[in-house]
Amino acid sequence: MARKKRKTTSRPPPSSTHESGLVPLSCPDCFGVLHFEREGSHGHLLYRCQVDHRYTVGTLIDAKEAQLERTLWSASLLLRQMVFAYEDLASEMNLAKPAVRKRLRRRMNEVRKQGLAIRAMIEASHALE
Amino acid sequence: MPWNKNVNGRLITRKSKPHSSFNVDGIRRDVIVIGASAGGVAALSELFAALPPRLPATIGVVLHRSAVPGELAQVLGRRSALPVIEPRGTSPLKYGVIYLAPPDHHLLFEHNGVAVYRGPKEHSTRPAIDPLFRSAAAHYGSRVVGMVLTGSGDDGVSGLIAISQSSGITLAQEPDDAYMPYMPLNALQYDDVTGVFTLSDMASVVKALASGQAISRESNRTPSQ
Repeated sequence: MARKKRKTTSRPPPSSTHESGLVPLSCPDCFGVLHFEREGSHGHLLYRCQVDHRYTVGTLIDAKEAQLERTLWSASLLLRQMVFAYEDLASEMNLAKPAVRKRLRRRMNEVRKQGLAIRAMIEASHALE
Repeated sequence: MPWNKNVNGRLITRKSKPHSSFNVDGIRRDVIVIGASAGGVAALSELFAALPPRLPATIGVVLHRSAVPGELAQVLGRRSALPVIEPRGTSPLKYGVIYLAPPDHHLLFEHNGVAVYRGPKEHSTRPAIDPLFRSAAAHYGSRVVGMVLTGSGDDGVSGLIAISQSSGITLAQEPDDAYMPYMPLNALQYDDVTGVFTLSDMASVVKALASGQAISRESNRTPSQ
């Protein structure tokens, strides 16, 4: 059975704005798409997002580092809250079979360790100086 | 040479050209825009104290600050013969007034005067130096003098480039003279800065440029001294 050949035309895809210099980095302030440009005779690198938050590579990294730490704290918080939730589940499952309780304990220990690992990642990060 | 040293692990290699005279064509540069960050309160106080009353120029200043209202205008005005004002809305630009970017707003110099704008942050900061420099360059072209004083970070570089491209004059504080050298160093690295001066020389340079005088080589310090 011959597959119908897809028509290829040169028209731009719907969301294409033909913005030059799109980069695979999102704006730390609003998560919009960033694109870069170079200014002046020495090629100063500038990033701009869709609502015109602006960064140099240095200030972009500062903001991304702050975003990274916030994100890691969110993960750390989530893991801590999951320990509480699993503790509640364990107390509700008093009468469960030993095999089930064992699996639950294994997962609780994992979650505790994962929380500590993320905390250790945050504490062991070095500022670029 | 101060801007050849290793800064934050990266070697800054661009040397400033030995200065020749500038503003020899006698253009009156009566729109002065200034950016400062860490160490800026002391630096701006000293600069303002040295400016003469009835300076035939209008001055816009961005100092990185928190979003909380404070006494910054009063502090900076204490030793200044010129009034230091935090504008609230749009008003015509006046000679002999220092406009200070208010907290949480960018300061703009537009064709109809000074404006404040709670627009997108630049370099995660508001007020930021670049919007003021860019707006002044766009609306006042060769009348503009842009000045980067003490501070760390990259704000101001993009704005200085815009001023250079519109035939304005760009000045940087001599890095060795600055409390924090990185902002002037970044300006020197990425813009062809017209002049590098110590803070104590800046007031007389501004005064001369505002009245359309040339800055001679003798009064302009060269980096190889």
